[in-house]
Amino acid sequence: MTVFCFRYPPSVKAMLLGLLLLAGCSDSPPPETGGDLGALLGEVEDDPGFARVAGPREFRFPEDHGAHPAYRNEWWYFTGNLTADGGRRFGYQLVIFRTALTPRPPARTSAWAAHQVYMAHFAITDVRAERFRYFERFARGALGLAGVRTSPLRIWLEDWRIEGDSEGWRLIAAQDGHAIDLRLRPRKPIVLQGEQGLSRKSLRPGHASYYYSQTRLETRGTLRLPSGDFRVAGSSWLDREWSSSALATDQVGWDWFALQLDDGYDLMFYRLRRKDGSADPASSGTLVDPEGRATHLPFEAVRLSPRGHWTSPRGGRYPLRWRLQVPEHDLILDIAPLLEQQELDVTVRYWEGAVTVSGRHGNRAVRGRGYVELTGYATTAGRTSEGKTGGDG
Amino acid sequence: MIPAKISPAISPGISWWGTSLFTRAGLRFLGRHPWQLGLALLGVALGVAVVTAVSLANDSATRAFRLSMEAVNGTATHQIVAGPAGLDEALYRRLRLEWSLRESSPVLEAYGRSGDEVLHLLGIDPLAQAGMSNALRPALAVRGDTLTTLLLRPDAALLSARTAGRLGLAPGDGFEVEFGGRRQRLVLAGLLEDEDSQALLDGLLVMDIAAAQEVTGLLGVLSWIDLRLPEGAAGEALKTRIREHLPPGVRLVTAASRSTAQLQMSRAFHTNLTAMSLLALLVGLYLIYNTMNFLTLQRRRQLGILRLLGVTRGELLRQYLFETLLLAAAATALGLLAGVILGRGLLHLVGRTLNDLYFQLTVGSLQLSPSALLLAALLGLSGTLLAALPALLEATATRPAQALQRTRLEGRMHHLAPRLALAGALLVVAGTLTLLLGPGLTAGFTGLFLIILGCSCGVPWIAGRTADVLSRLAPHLLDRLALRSLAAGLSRTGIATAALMLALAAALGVGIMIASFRISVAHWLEATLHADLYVAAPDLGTGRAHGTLDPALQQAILDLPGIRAHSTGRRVTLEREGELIDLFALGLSPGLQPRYPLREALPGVWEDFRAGRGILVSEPLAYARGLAPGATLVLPTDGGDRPFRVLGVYYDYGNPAGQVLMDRALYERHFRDRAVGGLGLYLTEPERAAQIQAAVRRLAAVHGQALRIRSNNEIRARSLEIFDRTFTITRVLRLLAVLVAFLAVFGALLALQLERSRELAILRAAGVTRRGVWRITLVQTGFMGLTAALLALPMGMLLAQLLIFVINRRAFGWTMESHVPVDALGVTVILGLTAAWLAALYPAWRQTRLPPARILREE
Repeated sequence: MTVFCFRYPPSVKAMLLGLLLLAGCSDSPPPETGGDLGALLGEVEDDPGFARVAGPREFRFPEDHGAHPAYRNEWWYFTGNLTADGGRRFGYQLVIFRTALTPRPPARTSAWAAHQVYMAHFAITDVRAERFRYFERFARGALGLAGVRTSPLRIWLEDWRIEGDSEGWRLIAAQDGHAIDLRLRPRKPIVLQGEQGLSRKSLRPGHASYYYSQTRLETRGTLRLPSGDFRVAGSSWLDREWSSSALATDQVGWDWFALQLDDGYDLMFYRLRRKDGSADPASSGTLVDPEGRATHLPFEAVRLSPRGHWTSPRGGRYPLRWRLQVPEHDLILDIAPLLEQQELDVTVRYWEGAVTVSGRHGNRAVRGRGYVELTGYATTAGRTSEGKTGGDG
Repeated sequence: MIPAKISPAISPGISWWGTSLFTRAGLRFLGRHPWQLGLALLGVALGVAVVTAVSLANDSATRAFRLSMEAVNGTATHQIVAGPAGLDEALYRRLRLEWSLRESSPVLEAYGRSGDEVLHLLGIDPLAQAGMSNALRPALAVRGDTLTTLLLRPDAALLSARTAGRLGLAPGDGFEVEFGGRRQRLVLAGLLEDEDSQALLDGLLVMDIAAAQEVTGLLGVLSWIDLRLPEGAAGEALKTRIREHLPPGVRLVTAASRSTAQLQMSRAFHTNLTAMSLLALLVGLYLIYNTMNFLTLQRRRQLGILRLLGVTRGELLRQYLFETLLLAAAATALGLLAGVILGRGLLHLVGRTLNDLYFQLTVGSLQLSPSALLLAALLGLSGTLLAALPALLEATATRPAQALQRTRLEGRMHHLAPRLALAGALLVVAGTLTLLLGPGLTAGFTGLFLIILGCSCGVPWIAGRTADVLSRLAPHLLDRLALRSLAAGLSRTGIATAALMLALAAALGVGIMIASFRISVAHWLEATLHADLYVAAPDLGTGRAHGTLDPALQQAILDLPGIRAHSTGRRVTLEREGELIDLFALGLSPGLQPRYPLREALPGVWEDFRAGRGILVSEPLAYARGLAPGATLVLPTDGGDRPFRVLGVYYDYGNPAGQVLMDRALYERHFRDRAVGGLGLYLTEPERAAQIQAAVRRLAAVHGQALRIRSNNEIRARSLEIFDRTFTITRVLRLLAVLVAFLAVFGALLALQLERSRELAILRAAGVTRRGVWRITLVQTGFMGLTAALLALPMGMLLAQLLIFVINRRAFGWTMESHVPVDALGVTVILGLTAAWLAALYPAWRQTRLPPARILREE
């Protein structure tokens, strides 16, 4: 009867998806920067109600593994390199972001009312098959859909969860035939990044975060692909960060390195890039020795130069090969991706991938593994054309 | 004889020349009779217009409903639903956390009112939606901070640009919406802006689920959970797994089942409208028949000459077909145009009736569905050709010599009339059989149509015989002349009378049906409304969201002095296997006895009812499910499906979809829901009703819930008002049918008078006065009008009985007392005579105005 009138309806849900995705890139300024991943819900003005990262603080564990709701943004960022029994190599990433929309919970009656939104990314790099699968999720911090609990320690977004106890961590995530169930045990003490855990992101005051890491987490467990299950073992890295500030206005993104060397040293370095292409002097890093002693690496101590680029089919040119030098410590490292396509085309597009490292430390040849994160190289425009909650490369 | 000889020789030339001349002659002929032509055009056009309008209005309403369901369902394939208390929101968390059902999203649905606008509230979780609609094209251009606003502000809402425009709102504006009697101030946080889907989004009010729960007061509750399940084996396995995990009383249904169930309910209503519109077209076709017959008769001389000149039968047939098609096309085009205009008005009425009876619906603009237009056009064209067929065959079948004889057709008609009557009798038999043997509503209407068509076939014969007999009995010469001439012109007068009879009978039948219905409803209201005052929370909408009273307010009302007893009512909608069942839980305070008018029941019905040993079902439900006292009805309770014994069947005209009546105690045993939708208050001093009403109103104001507080008289009046409103559209259609019939009579009389003008002119030349001519005309038309009206009386009553006992029963399951209002019978007679005499005015006036000599010369 009504053949002419019938067409596939864009549903209300699709509209709301658009709403959500647009929220990731508010209409002004143009979203050229990947921006602060934590500032999910657009550039919001500084809300004086949020706590500021103003000076050093005393860290207490396990309490500080839990949430710091007085601050706007926070994340639990796990990355790791794994090897299956047969020698097959994998990389994984599991991160849960917390964003507070207001400093204090609103006085409301519905159990759905929330002032915190959680976002999570889960990715698996299958090096041999040259496949990269990633997933993105959102949930409100209400009704038990997502949240953080301290005893026992648990950070979850629906059925993805991070559990902590005196032994270490357990990570559980699964979607569309891809899953991890990993146990992580720290092999080194907690490292406070920056100045006793205060990590400056700009020379201007207020642009800073509290930042600590567990740079070497011995990892065992299972990894599932649609093709089958693998018993895996390897090494993971945890970054914990919370703050109330976003990138400074003249910054467009960052290059972040987390490297584990086979001589027992670990290196973290982030370079904040400014609009004019120069590096922000607030960039810095940390060198951790085999016993877990950390040495702060100021911006001038590290020389970083790109050695090769990769152009994303979605647009954007990423420097994926690097030479990193720390002359003071006689360290020269060449960094290369295990797979070029480790770009996550999610709400904010960025590259986060497993890398391999080779070079020289003193007079010894070293090899290593790690993760690199590159943001601000790709626009997130065109986001309205298609909703993405995951994908593969 | 001559033509046979010359035709071979000149045939080719004549044929070419003849056809074109013939064509021109035909057109010129039609042009000389603009009245006839105009009436025929108007008759068909009106018929087509009514069919078009009803069809478009029906389609548009159905489409609006489907669109609203599409907007609500989106890409969901299934839904998890629960009983009257709604779905516990904790189930959603389990779904996401324990069962890892990613493609799921919670929905809270309600209806609110902002001014005259009914808004369909959808409370959703925008963050969950992202997982639901992976590849769909999002089409929303809102500011990035809208989502934050939606999540944070308890009053933030989105509307489609169209709806916002109607309400005169721009983003940032505040507006008030009333949900279940509670006024809420909302802020338009943004627009659902998508050019392509404005129709889809029209009337929707989208809020975050937290805010939606808060403004409706439905805390902790979901209306349903949308799911998108894969197809095939994986989907089946998942479904089985979900079903195993669902708590009792919670069900997994397909997303389409609910909309289908709702549409199903209103189908009978749409069928009724279509039948009414076809009736109007049928009357219009009588008019076509009449006109074509008249035109043929008028042209017999011309046709005869043409035949003598060698124009072949085939050529004549082609010419006739061409003319008829031209007429049909023009009339149909006109009808379609008028139908679209009429449709806009009807759509409003259809939408209102649907809202009154079935479901909340924002009916936007009239959709010009091509299929509906095409169908109406086909009906108009084919109907016209069919109606013109007898005249066509008559004209072409005539042999040239006969064609010059004027009286042949009439002679044939006199032969034909009894046969037509016989055929009519057969039609009546066929109709009766269809009615008796076919079970459905369509069979009912088909039978009905056959019967009334058959009856109208008998009219020419009866009219002819009566005129014949009367012409012999009439004492006055002029009357005898008038009647004899009438009997002689039977081919048109008979058919015109039949058309008028048909329209009058339909009007009368429908009138009697409505009157009977109304009286039954009034009696039923009388027998059902026992309390002095009724207090009810306005519905959050039809469907599942029935309004509930604030418990504190309820207690405060019951604590008022002067109330000796009370009843509580709670209406809920249950859903099982794609079918919706309304349930009314009745609670009576001690000392009150339930008194509902029963159609049939088991002995000791009320005792068993109060003891919770069974339920009562309303008549429509009993009819639809074939339930009789003693039968069992399975209802989806919060503890799963449970069988209930049917103790009796009660009359109920309030709900065409049917209803279950359950004692409150039994209801509370099987459902977690403790809400009350309304109270019936029995007063110690009924005459103090006004004071108590005012006291209740004050209490309601204190508690911030607007209530409907009505005395039983007010409810009665209001119910009948709604009743009348739902029949407005029926009345409009009935009026249109009578209008077409009036045109038919007018056309027939005009034809008759034009044809008899020579006869009358001779009479006038022979000394008959103008008064005499008036007398002849008035006797003729009076006879036609009276015959039609008198025949319409039994016919109309028969029609009414069929409508009451067959159609209404099959459509809704209602039985009603048959009530024949005497004034309706009188009105029918007066209407018939008036129509006939009104139609006679112009022809009679024309006849008397012109000098006889001129008429004779014209001839």
